[in-house]
Amino acid sequence: MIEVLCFAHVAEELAMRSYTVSAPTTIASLREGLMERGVSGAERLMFAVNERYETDDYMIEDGDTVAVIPMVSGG
Amino acid sequence: MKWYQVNEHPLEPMALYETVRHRNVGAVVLFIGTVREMTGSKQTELLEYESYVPMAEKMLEQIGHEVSERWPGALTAIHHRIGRLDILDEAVVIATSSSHRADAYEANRYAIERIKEIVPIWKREHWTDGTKWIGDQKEQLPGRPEGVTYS
Repeated sequence: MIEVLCFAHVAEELAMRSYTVSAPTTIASLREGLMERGVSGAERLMFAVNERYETDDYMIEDGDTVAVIPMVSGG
Repeated sequence: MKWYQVNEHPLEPMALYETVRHRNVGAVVLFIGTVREMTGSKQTELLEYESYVPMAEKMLEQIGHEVSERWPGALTAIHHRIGRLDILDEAVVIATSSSHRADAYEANRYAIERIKEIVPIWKREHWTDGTKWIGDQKEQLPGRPEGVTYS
């Protein structure tokens, strides 16, 4: 299983802080899933796998932790 | 004192100042980002910050590495506060030090700009007339943020 962590407006719109998906999958596939669930701005979300930013073609394996990262706004 | 930290505790700017000091430092620049009440005609009541803390601290550390590559010898310490912050509260403190002032100033400006690009921290504005998660302050494209490399 792959754990997917959600933050900020994504967590709010999905009404959950995390969910799981079956391995293997890709970031592109997770993005599609978020679009289908109606998450706003899904085409612009960033993703991190095990705390590193990765791009759409990245293959996610069993046991990986993925974070869905909306555009950041610290500072 | 941790050099890179994200948590809910009030910030201590002078502690970061002490962290980046040593005998061959001739300049320390301390940037403090504070919570502002008015943005144009919009009135903020409070700010709420959320973070993916373990990754955020790693990214702050990466910014420290980037600074020392660009300005050899320059040191950086960064603490960011999360949770609910009131007007006037400190949200972020960046301390940069160098042997001379020019590098310390430039490194500090660089660090705050990078925070707004790569560090997973999000701000929700609570205005008098509603709330909104703020994003896209730098109009980035999706994917890996520019310039993020891993060793």
